[in-house]
Amino acid sequence: MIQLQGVTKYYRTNDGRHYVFRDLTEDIPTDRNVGILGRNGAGKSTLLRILAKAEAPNRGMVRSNVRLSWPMGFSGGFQGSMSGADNIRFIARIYGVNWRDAVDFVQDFAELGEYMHMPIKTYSSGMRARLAVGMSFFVKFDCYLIDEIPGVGDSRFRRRFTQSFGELKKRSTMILISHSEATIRKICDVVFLLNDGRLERYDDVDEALRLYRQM
Amino acid sequence: MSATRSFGDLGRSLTVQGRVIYALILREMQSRFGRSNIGYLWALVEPLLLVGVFTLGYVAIGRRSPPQGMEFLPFLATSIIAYLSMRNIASRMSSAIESNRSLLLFPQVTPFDLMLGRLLLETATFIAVFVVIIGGGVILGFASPPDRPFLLLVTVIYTALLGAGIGMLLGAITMNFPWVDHFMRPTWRLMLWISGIFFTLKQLPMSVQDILVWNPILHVIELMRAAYFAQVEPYRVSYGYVNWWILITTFMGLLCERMFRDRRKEK
Repeated sequence: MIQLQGVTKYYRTNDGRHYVFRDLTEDIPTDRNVGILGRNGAGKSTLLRILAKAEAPNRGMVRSNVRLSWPMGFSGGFQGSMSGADNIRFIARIYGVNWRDAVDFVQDFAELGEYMHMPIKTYSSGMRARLAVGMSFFVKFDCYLIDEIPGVGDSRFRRRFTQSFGELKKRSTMILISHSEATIRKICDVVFLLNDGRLERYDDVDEALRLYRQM
Repeated sequence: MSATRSFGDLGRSLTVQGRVIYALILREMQSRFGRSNIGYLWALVEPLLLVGVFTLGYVAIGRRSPPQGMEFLPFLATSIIAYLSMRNIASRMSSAIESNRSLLLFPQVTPFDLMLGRLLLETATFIAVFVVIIGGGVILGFASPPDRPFLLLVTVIYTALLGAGIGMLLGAITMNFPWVDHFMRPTWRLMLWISGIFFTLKQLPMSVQDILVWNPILHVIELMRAAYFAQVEPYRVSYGYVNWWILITTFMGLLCERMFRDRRKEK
């Protein structure tokens, strides 16, 4: 479970503080798959970064008792001038896993071929996503924080991805931001609607989707 | 929570931090020096070139040797390596967060780690360059070994910390006022001439001394020579003064980093 206690987050702009959340208190389950729905700019990605502890709230506390992934999905975490293998090596080291095994695994999983040793900035966004997904599968988290499941390549890779994803779902859960109703319906057991800096929990996914459509 | 458990927690978080710093240093080595070993040679080329050029210049203007019986090579090498290393440390530290922002996505990587990683790598490079050039000079007979090697090492670390403090403060300032960065190149060039690299403070008229003695870079360079040569007494310079600079710049740098953290993330 991830506990948010009195979380306040704002950004300073020229017009003063822009609040994303004010005094947000909520328990997010990590033993089930959680979907987060909200309009563009509602603060979904900020919420995910706060849950992942990649960004500290201005006030309040975030606590969790499980191993959480880094917030995945946008290209962050990779340095463009370095190769895929270099980036894998770095991530392996900071998570304390064997980097040789990691490079082998990701090479095999993401099928990047010789691109593995070329700078990330030469990658397509699909290749970048495959690299990130592959690495996160290798590190093995209890709960994956995913900002939009990326469109990841051709049908051959998609089959493979779906298969790994299926295995992943057996041992791990995820907290998922998605605009795709089909994805949310297929994966999530619980949905949080994010609106006006407030989180509302719905255990009935269809009801949440219905409300989301009206937002 | 029992005391043993909190010690365990501390141990665990130190392990994580150690792993992060180690990974960052390896990463920085690659981006700083490239994959080939020739990259490391480049770290030597700039100081060697400057030492060479200024030795020739010194000879050309008819000066036989530096004052107080100091030898040429250590006289110039201490100051030039200290100046270049400090400039590198300051500029690498000031851009540490900006150029590695994408890594802050990983919860175990903090802005402090990014700066510490760069500081450690640059300081190690500083010491290595120093040892190679002075050691080479000693072997080839251009220099005698330092009289107080331990004090010299302490002074090298002072120099690195001064560079780190200035770098942190600069980083915090340029984050908000990027135009300040344009003034840094000319400022460092000016510092090359007013930091006692080619002269000693004592050689100057009193009125000039009174101004230059405020420059902390001049302090570390003079202290470095005083550590190298037993016969040289520190003249109007002190470790205490450098201490204040290190403390104040580091404190201000960290404070500004905290204050402007949200503004940074907003981009």
